[in-house]
Amino acid sequence: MTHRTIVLAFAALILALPRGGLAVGNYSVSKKVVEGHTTYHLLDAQRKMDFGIVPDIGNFAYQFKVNGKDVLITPESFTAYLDKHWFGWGIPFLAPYANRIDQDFYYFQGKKYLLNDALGNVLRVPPTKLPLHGLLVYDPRWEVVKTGGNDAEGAFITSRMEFYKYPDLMAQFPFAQVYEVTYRLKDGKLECTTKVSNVGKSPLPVHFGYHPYFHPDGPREAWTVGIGAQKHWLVNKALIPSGETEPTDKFLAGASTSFTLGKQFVDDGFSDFQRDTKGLGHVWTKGQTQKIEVVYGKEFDYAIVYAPLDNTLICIEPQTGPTNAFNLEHEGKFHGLIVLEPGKTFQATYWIIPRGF
Amino acid sequence: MAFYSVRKKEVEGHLTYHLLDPSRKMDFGLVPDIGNFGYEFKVNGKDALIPAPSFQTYLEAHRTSCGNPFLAPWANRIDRDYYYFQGKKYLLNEELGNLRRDQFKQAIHGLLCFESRWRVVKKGTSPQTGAFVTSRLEFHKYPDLAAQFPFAATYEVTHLMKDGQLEVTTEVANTGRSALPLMMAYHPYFRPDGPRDEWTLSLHARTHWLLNAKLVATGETEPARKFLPNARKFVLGKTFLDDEFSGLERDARGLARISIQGRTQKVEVVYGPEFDVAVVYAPLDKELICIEPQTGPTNCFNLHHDGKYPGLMVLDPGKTFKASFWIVPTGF
Repeated sequence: MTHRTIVLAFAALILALPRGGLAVGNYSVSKKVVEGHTTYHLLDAQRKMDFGIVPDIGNFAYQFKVNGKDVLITPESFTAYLDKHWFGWGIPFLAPYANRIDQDFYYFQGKKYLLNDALGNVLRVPPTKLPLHGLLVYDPRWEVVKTGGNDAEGAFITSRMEFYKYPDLMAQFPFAQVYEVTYRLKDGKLECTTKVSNVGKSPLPVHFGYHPYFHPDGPREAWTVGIGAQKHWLVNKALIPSGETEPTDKFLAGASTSFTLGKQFVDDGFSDFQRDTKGLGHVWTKGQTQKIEVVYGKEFDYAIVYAPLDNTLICIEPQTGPTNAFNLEHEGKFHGLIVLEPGKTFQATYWIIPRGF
Repeated sequence: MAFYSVRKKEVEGHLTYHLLDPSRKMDFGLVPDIGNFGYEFKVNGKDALIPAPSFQTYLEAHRTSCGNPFLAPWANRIDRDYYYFQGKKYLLNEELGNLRRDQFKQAIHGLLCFESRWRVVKKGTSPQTGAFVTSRLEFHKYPDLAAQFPFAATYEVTHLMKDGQLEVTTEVANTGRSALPLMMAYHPYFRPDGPRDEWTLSLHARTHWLLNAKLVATGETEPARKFLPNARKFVLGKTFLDDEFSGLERDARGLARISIQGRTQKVEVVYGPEFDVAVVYAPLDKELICIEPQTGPTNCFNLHHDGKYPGLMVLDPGKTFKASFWIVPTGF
């Protein structure tokens, strides 16, 4: 390397370094305090994208703005989010179980584990009052371990939760594990990668989901939806899958390609994605001009689509395995439970691609 | 000149470790994969500990009345099927199959008596250090254990044979990010020579703990001399003992001593400062005496929660607790 190239390389390096939280390049990460919580924002200056995350409230993705418009439904406030225990905002992370468990206990490898209400971290919501959405939605103990912004990597943030170090979590789910979640803004897409490491010496049942809540433009009745999955899961009155499935288009004509939401209530699980050549599955919703696509990496083999009638929103949920996967597996109604061996790491990625904002 | 050694041998399909002191003809045997159980301690071919009849019998009987079992994360009884720590209620889960129950169906003796997942991590010998073996159990890495006691902890137990004594050192490392309630005990079972009625107990303790009908400490105490006036030199006779003592009298090094003397054989248990409670168990239907080093009174988690015991040991994140006791046999 000549002296001149060294100088040039050094100059390039200096230019690429972030200054005071603002990168010279297109991508950057900024930190700001909102309602007393440190938030991190992944920024794409060129596309006017701003994705906000609050690590100390369950690593909650609380906003995603494109051209000043909301791709995600932004919470009224963090206080409201924490007080109301409301699901309909941002992207909560649901683990170590997503959606419902049909009992106050669950089985794994023939052993029965109890959920303990006395610890105050088992979420339940009407009407079923079943344990719901895992233990981490409001957890303050996430730590940011890495952030960065550059052309090669986009803008990213990695947060970690050392689950096994907290007795209130381990009492409910005594499988030693560490979560690492990376959100990345790059090329106009929001990428979310979850890593679960089994740091124990016993197999770990893996189940988690994300609930990104969307509200595209135009009237709800006119929103179109495509669910690129072939099977629809039947549920009982408590919204627990029975293990039985039917073709998606039998459930809702055209649903696997495109249908108009109209007055249709949807709170349903789907599997067996039609995957593209990269192994990716696609579920999308489109309003007047705004379209949001959720792209499912192959580890997310289950989609729940939630579009209630009493609230103008649609949630397209990437989930690993069906709701109540542990007990379904125990009852022989599901055979695909993800089991992570000691020392191994499970990784799953999904993407949110907003267009027309 | 002692030539200490550590010898491995397989007994009934289990790998055992023996700490040997040939000059004193001492042989202490440990079986890591059965709860890191000290299963025999021979001196001149005689038993300082009551030996396990066989491993198979020990595992099948699921009763501790021989050797030196390690009891954690709680020793003796818990009065309910849950316990409190720092205001939170933790459940014991019968379905996992690793709880032991006493005659009143109370959970007893922790989770580790028959635990197979101990690993020997270090052993060694030298004239200076004696013969030792260190075993480790990464408690929080096993869901059946963590479900019952969800505090991330690693146990390391070192047995050391040196200068005619067996030293047992227990280290508990809090590998979590939350405080850890500490409790443990060992139950070394002795049967010195001569008739039981003539065995002489020597116990220097100020405080005797009152128990309820289910043998759980109530938190109330009385002077030990009121309960056992001649405890410093007490001939067992027909006295039944299953009692808990604290306020142990200690020497300048902080050590307390409780011993049982038979005709010629004497076994002394030396309590390091962290072992602040002694349970002495001498039943009438079996010829044995158990002199138990214990940290805190029986049922200390719930006693603490009920405001009846302020002294619960709490280990902060990143810290390691260390406690030693010694078994000193003479006249064998």
